[in-house]
Amino acid sequence: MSFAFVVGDRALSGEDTHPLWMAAYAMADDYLVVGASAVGQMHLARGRPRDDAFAVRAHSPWVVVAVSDGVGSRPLSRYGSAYVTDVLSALLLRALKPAVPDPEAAAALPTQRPKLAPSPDLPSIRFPQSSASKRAAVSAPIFGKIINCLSASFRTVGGPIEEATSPKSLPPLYQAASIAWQPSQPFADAHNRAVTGPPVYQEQESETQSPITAPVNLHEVMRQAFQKTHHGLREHALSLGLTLSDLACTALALILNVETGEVAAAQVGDGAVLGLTAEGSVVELVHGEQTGDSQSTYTLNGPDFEQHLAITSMARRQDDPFMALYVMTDGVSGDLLYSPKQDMLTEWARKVDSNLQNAPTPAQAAGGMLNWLATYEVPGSWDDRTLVVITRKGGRAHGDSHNQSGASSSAQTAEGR
Amino acid sequence: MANQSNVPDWMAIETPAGERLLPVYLLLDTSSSMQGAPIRAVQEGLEQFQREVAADPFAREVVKVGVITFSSNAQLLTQGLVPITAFTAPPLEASGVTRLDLAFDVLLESMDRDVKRPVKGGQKGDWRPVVFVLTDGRPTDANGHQTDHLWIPARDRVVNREKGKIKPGIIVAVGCGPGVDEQTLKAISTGVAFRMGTSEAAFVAFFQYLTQSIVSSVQPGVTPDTAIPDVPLPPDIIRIP
Repeated sequence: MSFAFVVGDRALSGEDTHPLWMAAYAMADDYLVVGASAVGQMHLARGRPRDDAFAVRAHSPWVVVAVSDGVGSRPLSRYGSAYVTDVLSALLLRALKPAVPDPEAAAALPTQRPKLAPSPDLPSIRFPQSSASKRAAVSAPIFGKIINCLSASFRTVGGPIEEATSPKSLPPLYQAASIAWQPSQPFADAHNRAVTGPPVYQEQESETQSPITAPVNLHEVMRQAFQKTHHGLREHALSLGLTLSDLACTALALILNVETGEVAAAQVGDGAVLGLTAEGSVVELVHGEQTGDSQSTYTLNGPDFEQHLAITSMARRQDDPFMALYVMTDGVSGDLLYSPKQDMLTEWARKVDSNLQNAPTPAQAAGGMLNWLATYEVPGSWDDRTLVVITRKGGRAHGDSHNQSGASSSAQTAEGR
Repeated sequence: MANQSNVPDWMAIETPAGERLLPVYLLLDTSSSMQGAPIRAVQEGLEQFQREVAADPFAREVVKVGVITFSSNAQLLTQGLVPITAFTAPPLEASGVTRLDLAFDVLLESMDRDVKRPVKGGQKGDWRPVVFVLTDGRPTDANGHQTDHLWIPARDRVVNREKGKIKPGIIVAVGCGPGVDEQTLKAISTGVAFRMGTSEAAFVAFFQYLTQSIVSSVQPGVTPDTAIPDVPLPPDIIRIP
């Protein structure tokens, strides 16, 4: 089944619309994608905004996740993290799914195609028109009803949404949605400094997209996307009247091909990308380089960021495939990876996966994960927490539900760079 | 945000415990020139510091304190780093000369022994230590002669360490009274240095500033060297340019 969606945070323009809490879900073929990002408890107590961000983009068979953590000492770093996740995910997907020609639409176009617009969106992507797709025929009143149904489902997070999607007149919906909660009061001036200008991604005139030929070189796709996002971040800072260091943030990304099982992960700065295998092992897909100082991290805005960029790509693991993938900022990984109890990491991954699998609806899965991120307590753990999980709903053997104890568990590492 | 009860078992997820703590070292001059009102004011200030930091809901969870006094000798009076909630101001006595170099040696020893480094699969590391040095004069040698030849290399051993070793996040030097030298204070610190009087009000203001500095340092993603200089100064404390 084809799918396409964008969920999660978007780049900020002049008005600071970065919400304190963000939750999102989507279905991508047999996979459930759930993302949640919660402002840290200390930030909340002191009236500071969330500095984390995440975005998930997909166009079958590719799912792309980007996660970022704005540096806490920079009051406006959320502008950086929101930009990075929006643009990085867009660039990755654009490289994987170039424009698909649409004969009917092309006939109606002017003969001269416009240049790519300076926007983190995907203006060059056209979705294939098939007889099964009714989107072109959906009228405005129907869209209004769709929006009302989605709103109703989130208003009743924790309850069934069957009634929201039961009207037979609705066209098939791609199950994907984001919902966010804004603060009721604006932040204090130091954190709400006026910035202007739209998000910027400028295609450089001499820039050419290196041809990505089958089989796709995911390592190169990652490298180029990170590089372009870094350059775009510089332009974005200028457009906002800020310095590049004002937008300092980490960056983590994940690519998944749901048909082939190919996976790629990349990271600059702290955080983690983990995989839970069918046999119950947790694998760290990529090793972000450590500074050696728990209070500092490498960031994407650094001029030498490529020296600290770790990239991994791998084909499907035939013997022990991934059942779930996790991308997280250090607000979560810091609590998980530095514990002496190795089994605890595996149990954590299994339980999160199990909760998502067993949630009555994807909306409840997202709501539950957000609530947990926002409220679990660990002494000294007050940072923003962001987690995106891709979990496979179909194609699992009976013993892969991770509800059973006794499966072997060991932390493995994947080769990086 | 209340838990929506239909979502299965989220609250049952056990998150690995592991604290990240903020070590705070107070290097206090207890030389003979501090006798009388100054040392009493420092004693009371320590008690004030404990009360106020322990009252902050975040700082109380993570701050641990080490008190190093320096005169003719240097001692880690707390015998390690003590959680702020369990910290009791030790009795202070003033006598002797001003061996700041020995205080830095004791600090180095404690950082290597008492401050935790991060270990993946092992433990969370502590935040980098915050160090405050309070003195009313210039450092001396064992005979009481003012000299820079002892304390400067000792300070360098603390600040200029090889990668992987614990280093302070910031050293703040505060001079009280007319006997301080501003250039020396600036050289002791790694960023900001102050001077103040020796009145009771001045010491109260100093320990209030100390509290606010510590509380502001306890923030995710924030380092003390960026947080502390932004803490507003009370009128009795003057920043040395």
